[in-house]
Amino acid sequence: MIQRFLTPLGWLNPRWFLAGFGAAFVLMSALGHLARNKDYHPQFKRFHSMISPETAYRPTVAEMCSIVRARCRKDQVLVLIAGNSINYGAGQSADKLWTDELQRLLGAGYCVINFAFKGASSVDGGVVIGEVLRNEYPQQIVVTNAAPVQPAEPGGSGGYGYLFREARGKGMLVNWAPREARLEEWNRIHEIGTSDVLCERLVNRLDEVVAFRDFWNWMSHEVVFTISVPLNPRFPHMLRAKKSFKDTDADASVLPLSQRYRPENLEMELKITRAFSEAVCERAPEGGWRVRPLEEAKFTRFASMGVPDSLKRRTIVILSQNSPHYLARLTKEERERNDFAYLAGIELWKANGYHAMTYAPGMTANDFVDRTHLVASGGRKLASAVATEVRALAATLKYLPNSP
Amino acid sequence: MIFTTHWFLLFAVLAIGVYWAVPRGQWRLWYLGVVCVFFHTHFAGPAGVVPIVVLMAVTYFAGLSRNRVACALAIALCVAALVFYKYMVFLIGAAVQPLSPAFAATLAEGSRKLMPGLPPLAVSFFTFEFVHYLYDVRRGGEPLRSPIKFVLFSIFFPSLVAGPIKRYMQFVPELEQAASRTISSSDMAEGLRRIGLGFFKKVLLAENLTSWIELTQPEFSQLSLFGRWIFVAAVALRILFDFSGYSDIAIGCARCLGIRLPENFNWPYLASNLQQFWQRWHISLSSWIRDYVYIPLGGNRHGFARKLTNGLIAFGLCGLWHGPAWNFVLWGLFHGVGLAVANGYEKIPKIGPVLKVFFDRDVAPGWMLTQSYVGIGWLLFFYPVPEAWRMTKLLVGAT
Repeated sequence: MIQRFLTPLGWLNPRWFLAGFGAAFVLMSALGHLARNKDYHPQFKRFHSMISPETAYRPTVAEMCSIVRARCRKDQVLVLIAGNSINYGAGQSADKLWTDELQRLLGAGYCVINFAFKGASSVDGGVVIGEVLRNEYPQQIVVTNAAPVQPAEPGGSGGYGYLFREARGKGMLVNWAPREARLEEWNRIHEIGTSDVLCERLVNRLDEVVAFRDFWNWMSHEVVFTISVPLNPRFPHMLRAKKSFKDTDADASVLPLSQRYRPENLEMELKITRAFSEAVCERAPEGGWRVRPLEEAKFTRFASMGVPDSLKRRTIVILSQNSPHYLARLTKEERERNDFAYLAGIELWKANGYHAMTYAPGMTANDFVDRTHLVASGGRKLASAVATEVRALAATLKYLPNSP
Repeated sequence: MIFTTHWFLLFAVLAIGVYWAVPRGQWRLWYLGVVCVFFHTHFAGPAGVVPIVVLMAVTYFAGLSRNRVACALAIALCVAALVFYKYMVFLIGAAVQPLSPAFAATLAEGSRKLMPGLPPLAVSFFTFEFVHYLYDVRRGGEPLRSPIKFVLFSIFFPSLVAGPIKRYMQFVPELEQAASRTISSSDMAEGLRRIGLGFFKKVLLAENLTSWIELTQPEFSQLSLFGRWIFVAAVALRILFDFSGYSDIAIGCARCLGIRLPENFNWPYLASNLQQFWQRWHISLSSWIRDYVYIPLGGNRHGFARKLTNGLIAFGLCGLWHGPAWNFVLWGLFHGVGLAVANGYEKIPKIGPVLKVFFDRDVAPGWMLTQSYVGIGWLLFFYPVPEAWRMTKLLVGAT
């Protein structure tokens, strides 16, 4: 039977085959269009590992917009969380997530959605979706995170830049000339040929018409997933629909400090902690510290083009801190430089039109699961600081959070 | 892999769609020529196109001259180009390094400066096709006079990257026929079926098996004996689905253009002896090796010792064709030895006839033996020799 099916089509009229092929294509496209307007993540808290690019599942722009539309009213202030694993909540279980605490603190006038991804940059995920929904949800605040003086490449990071390219390719983003210029420059530097650029445009246009990405994601989430990835290597898991995987990120609060801060990692982690400020700051000739002029120029260039001017003012950048466990082990001079880097970073982000903040002073080593990620207690402190900042910004922007 | 990119899919849809809209005859051939040049330039880059253009011109004019010496020189040039681009560093390491490491280092450095970062796209495929063309013309075959037909034979986009290795006397009539007729539903249906089957094999089966194999291999020694043989079966199926998937996509694309390419695989894991296996596995390569290496060396015409030697040379080269590394050579020789035994075991006094009766009575023992041998061969193909040897010992129960 199998051999008969796999051998040439003598047993089937080719016209019927072609008609079936065409009909199947149309059907899949129709399903893709239906999926585009449907929220098939009813329990959504965040894109956990099994429904993220880490496991070859790439949420589409339409899919993420549907998540927002299913949860947020237009008279609420939409608070989109973007950024990396710290904002994602690595170290916090789904039931103790900092963004739930943020929602609780902000109240029903606000709608908080966590679109941060592990390993994403400060312009990925929620930043893209915020820009896409800028007119539909004019009352919106995007909360992303970054290291002190470290803006991201406009267009996003390797694993997550696909979302930006999809939105841009479908004409959903602001036509922001400085960013466009940088993308062209990037293509030149990386020798991306005209036909590749044209191909990407065509693929995006084609996807607009036939909705193949949304069909694929809906199938993968609801029916069957066909790609084996390191996180689900066993064959029985391979074909399981993505919806059957739960958010299994553990609550790291239960780990003793000795497991969170392993002595064998101390040197490496201290080196990274130092690098946060060492790479961007130097002694000023007049005494004290200053941001290295080259780093400042690079920062200003990238920060200014990363998000359109009109959207910067509603973007809060959290400058994520390292754990006091490591900060306490820096020399006095290194600590001064570190403190300076954060203060200077906040000023630089603000000078470029963003809002910026860092953690409140109350964070302790117990609030972290490792050098950077927060456990539930740290998440609560972060949520509290962010809630204050969000409310203040909403007031500045004259948003009217409407509770039902 | 080129076939699994958005670029290729879009390119193929546009190229095939426009192809059938172009007026029949020469116009269609020229259009296809432009499409193939565009495809090759896109993936090889302008610098990567130079070797194939030079070899193409030399091959074309040498063939046109029908001069035996010119054809022989052109064959030598093609082989030299293949050796230079693909095997130079390997050969320096193998032949010069043991004699003079310093001189080998100088030679390797010098050749790296002359060579591009990677060998020209599909150099193994087009040089084999050129050698076949020149060899056949030299033996009295009719050369191709039409430059566009020759260009299409050289860089026909569906078969450029991963074969099948074409024969010009089969390919050109197909090309002419396709260029002179209208689109046919049976060609399109069969082409799409093959492309779909190819993607199914490549993306769904081969890539998932690859992922499983990579995760399981480090724990090979901890697997049960049955588990280890399952692993070998997975390795064998992975390469079949991967390679035959490429071939299916290539054959399917060509079929959508109305052109039939030679088949490359015919259920090789159903073979009950090694000779059958090689008649079913990578058919276009094995028949090329047979016609242009084994038979010209004398084949089986000069006694058992010569036949054995010719077989080993042919299979050694077949292995080397897959890549410049010793494990590929050993894999080829492993099959050469296996084939010699499979063809000659019945002549062993006393035991031979008994074994022959045993294998002739039922195909199952022959099938099991053949596929186990092929499977162990794949370990040699994919892993460094010491690792393959360690895994083979574990397969027979060693701890």
